[in-house]
Amino acid sequence: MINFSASGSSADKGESLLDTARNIEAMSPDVVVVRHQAAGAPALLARHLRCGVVNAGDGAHEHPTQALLDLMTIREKKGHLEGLNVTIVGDITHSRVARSDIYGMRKMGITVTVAGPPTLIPAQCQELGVKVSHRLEEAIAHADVIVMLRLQHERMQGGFIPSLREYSRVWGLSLAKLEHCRPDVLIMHPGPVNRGVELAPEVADSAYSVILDQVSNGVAVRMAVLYMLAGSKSA
Amino acid sequence: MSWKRKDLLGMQDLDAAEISGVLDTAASMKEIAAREIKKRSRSRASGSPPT
Repeated sequence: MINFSASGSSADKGESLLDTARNIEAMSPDVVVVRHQAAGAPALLARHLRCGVVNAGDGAHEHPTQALLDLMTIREKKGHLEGLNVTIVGDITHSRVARSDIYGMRKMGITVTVAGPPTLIPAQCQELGVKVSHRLEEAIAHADVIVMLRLQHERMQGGFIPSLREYSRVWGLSLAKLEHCRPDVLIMHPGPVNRGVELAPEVADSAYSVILDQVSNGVAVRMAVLYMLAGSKSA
Repeated sequence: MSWKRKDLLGMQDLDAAEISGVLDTAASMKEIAAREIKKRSRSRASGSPPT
């Protein structure tokens, strides 16, 4: 296992992504796991490298292992996936987690609703096969699972929301808002949580929350992905 | 399990069978990680060749 990060590496000194990739390849890895700010960077690497490539998050595009661990957690807790209602709340536009969750959940027969301020929901969102809601209470009323997205710090400044306090009041999940939800609703969050912004501390620590199960399942999912990618090559 | 891909780039590429395959493999991984003695191979445990 070798770790590269942009700061302090040759990428910082002007090396191109492909040159970095060729240097990594020269070390003969079985799998390269890449997180990159540019959407499509892992796909570019995958085309040029003989080894397997795992996308660990590329810009606002995809984060597949997060979606897989979310699905694993839901299946573990609910026993099945098909026919469930999942509501994803927050900054849908800039969220690679939301995008991967939507693709994965729709394929597994889950009905997905996205909810958030209009400034943070993409205009053509329905084309992904989801319902769109601009009222939190309505969006979560029948949900089996609520995925609360992290409000990134950049979004707190960029003019997308009037103020952090208002966002938290309108779009943050509190125990009071949960009173009108299904009693067996699950609360998920990809972490790290902004306590008091998207999630009230009492909700993050409540019996509804399966956030730490997501963390445990994240280890299992990544083990499985590495095993399958490394194994498929020798087969 | 029919995993044929070189890479995992996004959920958009995967079909339901592939997603279920990863979830099943991950569930086995979790079960292994929860064992008291992790990752003990059968050959080392019993002295007999792996089956």
